[in-house]
Amino acid sequence: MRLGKEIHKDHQAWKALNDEFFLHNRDKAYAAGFWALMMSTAFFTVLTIYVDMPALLVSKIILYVGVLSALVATLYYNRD
Amino acid sequence: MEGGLQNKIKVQRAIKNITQEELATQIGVTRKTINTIENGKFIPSVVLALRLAKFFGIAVEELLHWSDER
Repeated sequence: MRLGKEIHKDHQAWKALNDEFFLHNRDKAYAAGFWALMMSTAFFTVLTIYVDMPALLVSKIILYVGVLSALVATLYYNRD
Repeated sequence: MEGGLQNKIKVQRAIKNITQEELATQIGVTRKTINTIENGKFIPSVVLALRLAKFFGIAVEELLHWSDER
């Protein structure tokens, strides 16, 4: 797996990662992750009014939902 | 095709006898970008539209135009 400066050395990889369509999809995926984060935060804010839950657990779930949503959205938007 | 941004990229490619891959390489994008623009699923940026028009040697308005037909 190439990271950082190695990406610039691989012209094909750099082109693919900076392709206009890919960047457009990346931005849409970021937005999907953001809204998933917001919705899960709102959900647990309401839920914890009625159900006692550890704050650390709730935080982790919200974080995982946000990150995984962005990753899944990236795969979905860039599907063939 | 329904109203919206119409393009003649496929026609111009046929005139020049080049594939999507070759066009993508010349323009500096991926083949998928060219494919999604041709199919009307992705609207290119102004810069990309100008580069495409310059490559084909035609005006941008000839390559891409807006249609209100529904």
